[in-house]
Amino acid sequence: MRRIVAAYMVIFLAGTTYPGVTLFNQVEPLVIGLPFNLFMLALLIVIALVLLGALYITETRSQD
Amino acid sequence: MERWHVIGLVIAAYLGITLAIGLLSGRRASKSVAGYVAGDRDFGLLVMYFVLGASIFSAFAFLGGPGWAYSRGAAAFYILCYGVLGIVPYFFLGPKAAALGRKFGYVTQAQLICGRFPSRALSFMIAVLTVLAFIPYITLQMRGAGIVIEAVTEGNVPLWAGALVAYGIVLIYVLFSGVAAVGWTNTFQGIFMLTIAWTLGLYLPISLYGGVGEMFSQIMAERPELLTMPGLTAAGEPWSWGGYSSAIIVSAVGLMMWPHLFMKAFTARSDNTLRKTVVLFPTFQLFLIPVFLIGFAGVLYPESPPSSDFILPFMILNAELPAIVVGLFCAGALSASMSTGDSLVHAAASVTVEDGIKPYKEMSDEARRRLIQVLVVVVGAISFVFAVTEGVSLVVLLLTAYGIICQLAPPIVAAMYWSRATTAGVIAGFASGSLTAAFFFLSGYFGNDLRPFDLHEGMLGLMVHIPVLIGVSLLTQPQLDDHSTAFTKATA
Repeated sequence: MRRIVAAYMVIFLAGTTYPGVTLFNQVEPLVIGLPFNLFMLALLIVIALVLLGALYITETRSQD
Repeated sequence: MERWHVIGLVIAAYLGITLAIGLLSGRRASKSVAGYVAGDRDFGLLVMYFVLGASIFSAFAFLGGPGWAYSRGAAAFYILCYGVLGIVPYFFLGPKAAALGRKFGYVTQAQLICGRFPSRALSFMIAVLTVLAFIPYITLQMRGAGIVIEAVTEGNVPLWAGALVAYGIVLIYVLFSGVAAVGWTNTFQGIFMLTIAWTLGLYLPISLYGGVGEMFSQIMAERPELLTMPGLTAAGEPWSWGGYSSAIIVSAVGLMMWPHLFMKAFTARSDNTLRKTVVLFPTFQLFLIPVFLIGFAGVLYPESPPSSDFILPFMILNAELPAIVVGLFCAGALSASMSTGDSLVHAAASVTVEDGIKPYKEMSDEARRRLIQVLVVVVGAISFVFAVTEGVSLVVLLLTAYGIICQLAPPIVAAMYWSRATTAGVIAGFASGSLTAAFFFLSGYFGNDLRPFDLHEGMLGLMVHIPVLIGVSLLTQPQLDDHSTAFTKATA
């Protein structure tokens, strides 16, 4: 799980800085009212939240 | 009763509650330095979550965030991106620092660095630079509080008086209760801010444009340049990708290196509390979205505020809401300023005493605690002078502050993970990195910008810092095995 989170952080960094961010840097289509690029950033954060939750569960379980 | 009287009363009530919570929370804390600075290492999940969250929801995010979205458009999105990147390493760094804190009795991060790399000069250098970085940050928070109060009382309470009252209260509870007050008031203020951000962020687009999507469609039709990254600069020119990307990287590296955040590792009750806080932290990033919506709602509004930082109070006042609701919204904005400001004032004073003075002069626990309290007042007073002085460019200072703070990251990582690192290497790296950042900052400040690709000076500093730290460490005598492994092998 640590590897998955680390890999995701690399993807997150690549996807939010130049040039990765240009892949989805457009306004249309609006998703739930938000411009597509803003929605994608929110989605990246939600995925991070889920992965961190999974990381927490695996890390604390291995301690017992 | 005039409209601004009602608003003023709501704000006064809010300030009263904050003060009461602040004073009551300190009654349980012990009188020691560990009690005052690290809360007897007894913060639970709820408090830790809001302490960290308050750092994101500072006056910068609450006033600056909408201001950026309003004037610079998608440039503001960088604020969304760096939080996740910055917090994840803390999942591992935090519990490890906490373990070392318990083992050796550390309450600040310079103590941790200098525990591994013994050097009074290094400790002093870190203390001076962190306090230098803190002052503009505190000043910004105070100005934020003053701006809100001045705007909503229609100028009847001027900026200086508003900032004085709000921060007078902060000083009182920080003086009496230390970090325990910071924790509990942040929890109260955090809940308040979140409610207000969401309500206003959804209400404004719906009432002015008929919906969030409608609002963006209209902005797309009239000001499309605002909606694609990297947005605009403060002057309204397109921002560069180099500037945008390196702002994310420097902020991510610097985020948890701010002493008022890093030191909270020493306040958590357990390592799992720290880990849970990290896991939940991205939720605070999502709460920034409604804050941006507030700013975007102002873009096509026929009138404009005196400056973009005023956009939030401006929109609130023009939304034709009842006075009580306006008062509550403003209390929320004050929360954002005060909840960050209290942490900052407290940490700046603690760092000065623990890292700048204690290594040179033996003092009793009691005397140190008292000196920290004196310095809380001094730091507050200095920042207040800057806050009410016109013409000091805060944003410029704040960006430099991040450039300084992110230079703390390599020594922290080296102290806990790299047994081959040496004291000489860390000092050389830290000094060269800070000087590089300062050099490029000054080159821009004096009108002859030498930065390649518009990169943030903090990032340029790191690009010098890390190779120097590694190079000098490898060239100098390694530390004794017992000493270095006590740090690198410590487990949470």
